[in-house]
Amino acid sequence: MATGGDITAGQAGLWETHHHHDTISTRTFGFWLYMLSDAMIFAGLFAAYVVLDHGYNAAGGPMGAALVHPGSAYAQTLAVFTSVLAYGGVMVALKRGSRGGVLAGLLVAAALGAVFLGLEVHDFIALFQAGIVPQRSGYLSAFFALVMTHGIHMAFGLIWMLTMFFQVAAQGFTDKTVYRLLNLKVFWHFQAVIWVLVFTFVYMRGVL
Amino acid sequence: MVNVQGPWSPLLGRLSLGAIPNNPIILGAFIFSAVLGVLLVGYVTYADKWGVLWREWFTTVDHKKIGVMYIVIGLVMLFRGFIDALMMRTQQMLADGPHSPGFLGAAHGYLVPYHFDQIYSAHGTIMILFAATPILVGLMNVIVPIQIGARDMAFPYLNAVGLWLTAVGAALIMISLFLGDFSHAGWVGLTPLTELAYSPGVGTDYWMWAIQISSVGTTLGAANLIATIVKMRAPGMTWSKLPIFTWTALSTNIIALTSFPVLAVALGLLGVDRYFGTHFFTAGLGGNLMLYSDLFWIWGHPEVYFVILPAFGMMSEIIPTFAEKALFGYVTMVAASFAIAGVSWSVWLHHFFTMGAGPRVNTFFSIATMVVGIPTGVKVFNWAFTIFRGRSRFETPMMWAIGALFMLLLGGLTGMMLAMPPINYSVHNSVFVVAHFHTMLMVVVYGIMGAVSYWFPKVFGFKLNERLGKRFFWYFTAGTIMVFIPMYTSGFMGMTRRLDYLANPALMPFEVAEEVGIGLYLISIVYFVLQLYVSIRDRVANRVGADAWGTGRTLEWLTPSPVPFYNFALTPRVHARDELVWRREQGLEGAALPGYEDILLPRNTPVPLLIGALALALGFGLVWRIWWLTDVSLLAIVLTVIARSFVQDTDMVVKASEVEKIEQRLRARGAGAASAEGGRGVEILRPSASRP
Amino acid sequence: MVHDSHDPLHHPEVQLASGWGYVAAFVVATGLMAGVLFIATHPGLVHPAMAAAAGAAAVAVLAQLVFLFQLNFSRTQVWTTVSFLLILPLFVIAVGLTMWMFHALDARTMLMGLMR
Repeated sequence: MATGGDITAGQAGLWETHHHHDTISTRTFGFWLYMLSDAMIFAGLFAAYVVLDHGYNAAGGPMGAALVHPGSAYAQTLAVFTSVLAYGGVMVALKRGSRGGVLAGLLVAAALGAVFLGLEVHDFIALFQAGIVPQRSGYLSAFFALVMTHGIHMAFGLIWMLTMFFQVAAQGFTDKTVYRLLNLKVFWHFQAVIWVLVFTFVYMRGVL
Repeated sequence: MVNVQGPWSPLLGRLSLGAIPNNPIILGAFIFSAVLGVLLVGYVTYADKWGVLWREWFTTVDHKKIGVMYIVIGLVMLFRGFIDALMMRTQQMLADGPHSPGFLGAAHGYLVPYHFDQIYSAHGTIMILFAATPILVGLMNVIVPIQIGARDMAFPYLNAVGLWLTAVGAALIMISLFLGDFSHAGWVGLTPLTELAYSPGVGTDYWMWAIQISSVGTTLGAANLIATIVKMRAPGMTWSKLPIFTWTALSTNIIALTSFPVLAVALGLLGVDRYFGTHFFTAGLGGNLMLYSDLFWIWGHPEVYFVILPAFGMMSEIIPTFAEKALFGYVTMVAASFAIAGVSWSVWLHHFFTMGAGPRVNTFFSIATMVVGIPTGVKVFNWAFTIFRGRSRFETPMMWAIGALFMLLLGGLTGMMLAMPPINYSVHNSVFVVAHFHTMLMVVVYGIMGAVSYWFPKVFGFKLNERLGKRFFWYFTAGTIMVFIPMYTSGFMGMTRRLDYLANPALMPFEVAEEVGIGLYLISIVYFVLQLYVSIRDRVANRVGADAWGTGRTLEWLTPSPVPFYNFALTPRVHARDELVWRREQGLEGAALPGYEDILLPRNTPVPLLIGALALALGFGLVWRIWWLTDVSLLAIVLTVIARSFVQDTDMVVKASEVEKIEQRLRARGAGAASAEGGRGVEILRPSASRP
Repeated sequence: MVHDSHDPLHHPEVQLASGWGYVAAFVVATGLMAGVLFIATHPGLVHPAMAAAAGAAAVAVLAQLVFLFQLNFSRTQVWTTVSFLLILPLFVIAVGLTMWMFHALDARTMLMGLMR
């Protein structure tokens, strides 16, 4: 099976000296794959939600509109989207090489993420106080599992942002910090995509 | 948190002295493991190898060493799983009919039902997730980067983390043997039996967390391998020149990357049911127990192809090498791998046809299942046509590869039968199904054994003993026939799976035949161990050069054996699909390197091992509900990851002069092997001047 | 790095950043989600409401994929896009086939009458 190369028998064509890989794009691609894998976690949770989203799964407990305050849900939507936009600002600052811009953007994005989490926790506490807890029924288990998994992702993103804040402040823009900022961008923007699905197919479908 | 039955203390959770099982069989197993452990520790201490072990293995980020450790974990667990099989076979042989005797407190046979249930659960879990999966991941780890001409993986540090997480899973299962018990609900974890109400002990928790933690490792490993294959191929290696094993590694890791997260969801939801009292899979209060089967098999069926595709890749490497002929139908082979991977995602309902989703749904999944037969058939014919008019040499790897072909034929045909819902309804949950999937997994085992003997000289620099290897093969094959043909038969006669007692004494002859088969397996294992011992003893005489088999085709046979830690002194430029054959035909394979260069590699680090240790503490704490331990270890993992991310100096440079020294030493060694072997297998290392 | 003559900020993936793209994704997604909110809180106005909401969500996700993740077939992004396109069907299959099989199952276990 010697389909040919056109290279003559010289050794120059046989070996490559100083061949090196593009570290940044290898790392960001690997993280992107991880993110796709994470998407399948949400696929499993959405599958669980659609199976358990029937009247008999609520076991006589509350469903849909009883759980969701549409205005609060939309406020959370705005918080997520503006936080994502702020992280877009981080990317623009990175492109310009502005360390101050990156640091400021990280703080703004983290603050808006914290606002989202605050709103969500506030809603959950109200639900819990009304006796609407995951242990009440299969439907509520699925509802909370889906929404809380998204929330845990957001909280994880906040920890990551604060870590990156100190790392960029201390180390500046190295290969490592740059690909981590790019990965965090993918992670954070991915939460916005998941939120669109959660907002539409869990919150608003429940209100309908 | 849900209140659990029995005592609980803040310091030790559910753990107490009563957790140590009082059973002579487990005591025997404990003594065996303890003696083995003491011997191992004693030997390492006596030979003063702790430093070497720490520097060269425990802290390594070298993909080959990580791969070897994966394979060692897998082989140890394979042995453990085999012992479980031996115990089950013996129990079923003894416990036939109402007059069968009982020993050790059992009414029939020597195992009480609860113990027997734990054994088959452990056997399934171990064989699929802690034997087959680690060995395959290990082999891909070792071979793929060399085959694509890379010096390392995309994420070497993460690779080590994945290894240690897999080790944690295996360790949790071993701990469950001596502390508490293991799940009694089958390796699939049948709901609602796995719910706290019906399994109040720690067994299910051991099973759940062992799988959960090791799957994190497998998922990370999958992303790593895909990124490596996509981004780190040697210059000139276009997609149409990618070696076939690497292609199957790519398709199989796409499956792992996408299906393992769904398993994480299935087990995670079971976990919140057990720990927080939610109602995903409970009977009542709106739970749906079939949802678990659905989520589990969304992972479970792709997992079957996750283990079998690399085996196909191994066969596709071994057969051309020993038929001395290029693989027939390379393009269709690649297409078939991806077709299998793709279709694997729409067949999972055939594991529960009897759920009763109705004729339309069952028909869809039945047809999708049969469609898998098309690409698999393409592969079988490709291998057959590769052997056709080749110059076949029946060395051990080739024997295993051909054995795998026969297993695939048998397993594939019975699989077609099971794909038909009417047949499936009548043999559902019978040992016919068990025999079918064991035959399929035998394809994997045969592929693995072939691959281990095929690539062993590449990694260690010497061949395994051929004579003992062939005995191992024949005893193993005889065992396979003796165990599984009677199992198919008794399955058709209506024998249900997972029975600790057979009410019908007419099944006795089949059980005796299977016991003979498992005895043959036991002999084959003795030959395997003997083969390893003899080969290591005679390693100097069995040394090989770069191209260990003399007819290697792909890049891994271009670099010296054993592969130096930097893989390639200079990155090879790829010109053909079978690069080594191309170079051989051009008379270039002995060409000396034009020079040497400094090589940048990641530095060894103990952090992955530390993360593994913390994950073990986390898993142990979760199983026994020791909340302070879980909180501390989880926090410590997060802090360790963050702290490690601040370390900038993670790489080291190997000087060109040092590379030159290593290369010359290895080449001199290979040249010595050349004279000892009469020339076969070392052409690559001869100076080009000596070529005719 | 040995070959550290390069500046990570010149990497093509850093240079992908586009302020206008991020703003576009924000505007489209925020607007469409407001639309979904309106549909949900005014039942009967749009029919079928859920299909309209699902369509809006699909467009919003598409806008995010294009403007936030910059999925395209350029040299920089081709593998990102290809891997996404390979996994998208699996996401749909996992949820879709599950819905289908349980719908059929529920119909056969006499639970239909208890469904919403």
